[in-house]
Amino acid sequence: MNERPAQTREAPGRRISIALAIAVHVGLAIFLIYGVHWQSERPEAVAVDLVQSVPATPTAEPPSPTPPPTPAPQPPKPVVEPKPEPRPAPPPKPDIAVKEKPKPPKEEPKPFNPLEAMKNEAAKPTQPSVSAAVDKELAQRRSDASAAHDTAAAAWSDRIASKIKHNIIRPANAAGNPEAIYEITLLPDGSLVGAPRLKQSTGNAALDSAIERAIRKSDPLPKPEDPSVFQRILRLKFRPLEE
Amino acid sequence: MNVTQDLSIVELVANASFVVKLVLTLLAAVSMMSWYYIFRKWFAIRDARAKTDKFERDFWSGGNLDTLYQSAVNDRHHTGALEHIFEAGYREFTKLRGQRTLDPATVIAGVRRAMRATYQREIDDLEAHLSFLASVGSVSPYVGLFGTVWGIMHSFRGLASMVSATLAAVAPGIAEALVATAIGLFAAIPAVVAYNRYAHDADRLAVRFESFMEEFSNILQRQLK
Repeated sequence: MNERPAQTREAPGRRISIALAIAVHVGLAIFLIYGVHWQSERPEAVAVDLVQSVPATPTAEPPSPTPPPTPAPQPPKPVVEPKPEPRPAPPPKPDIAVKEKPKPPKEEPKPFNPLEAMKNEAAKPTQPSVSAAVDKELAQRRSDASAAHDTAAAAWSDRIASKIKHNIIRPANAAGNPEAIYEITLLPDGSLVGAPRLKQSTGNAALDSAIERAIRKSDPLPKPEDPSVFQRILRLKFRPLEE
Repeated sequence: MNVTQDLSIVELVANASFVVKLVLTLLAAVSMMSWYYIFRKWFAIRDARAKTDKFERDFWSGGNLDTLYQSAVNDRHHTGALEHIFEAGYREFTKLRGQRTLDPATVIAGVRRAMRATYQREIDDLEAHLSFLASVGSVSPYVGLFGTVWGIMHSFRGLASMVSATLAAVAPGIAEALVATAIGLFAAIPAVVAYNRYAHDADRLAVRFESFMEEFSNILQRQLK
């Protein structure tokens, strides 16, 4: 007589509740993983390309088909520093980083066309005459040594980009999302040498000059904390209308 | 040279610190439980309401009380809460009516006590686990917030050891920390909504049960005269 019906009753829908709860969470997981674009593909408003990018050199710069000017290329094993220091013949080198001895200005005949020289130099470590095994080892060492170098360079280019970005005043008639590329030459103290060179116009002269003014206004640009990441030529990509 | 990081949710969770992972696991388990109870209570309350409707229809359509009682006793496991109350009250009524020495007021009082006891049990059954939903709703945002605060602390500690503080260096850490808050809110919002809804539904059912008890007492009292 005193039996309690509530105890003997089976709770309705137990299995189906478990199944539905799992389904809800699986749905959420799928939504989070595939449904949300966690990072847009949009490029940054100002991107700084270090032209003489050391860690990226072996892949980014294809080896030049011209034979190397030096007759006997020594095996690049002793290269710990990513930059090939032990060069037999000093070609015209635009780099006046601190580790280089300051030399008379005859070393640098053309301050405004150092890009070619740098390309030559960058192509040197990937000479085709070096065997594949040595090349591989070199790449390995280089990637180890350049990990810290890489982050320092990234930090530097971030700081340059943010400084210039703050100085851009957008002209009123600008529309769309055009891209401009400027190339600048820097001294090691961060000050500009010469005028920024327009490599690719946005198609809007007012916008181009606004960018150029922003670059000039940002002079001197921030110095890298690690002097070894300093590069003389910087390539700046702008998408100033990016929001 | 741009610092681009893969910011997929899987990466964020995989790179999170241990405490954040612990918080995420806890929140996922809590969210699982709370959704389980949400669905279970949903089925249970829907079922209870349907059975109450059905019994009220049967009761007020003027059937014989004895046949109603028999069907309630025979079909005990498929009857609803209201039918249990009716069954307890009528059983008490038949027992007390046999004793001629009792006056009607005593009989009715006994019947009401019996019905009240069953009513309490049924309401308790209806409201079971609702407090769990309430706790999830109020606590899991804080748990998620704890995970976020911890993750942000972690990422700022990492920032202190860097040479240059860039946004790109902190952003992934903060994003992964915020995942904890997101999961906490995901657990909390449905729990709060379900709690309010089910508490309201249970209250309405309780009101119906109580008014039925009063009306049924009146009917029994008339029969005693």
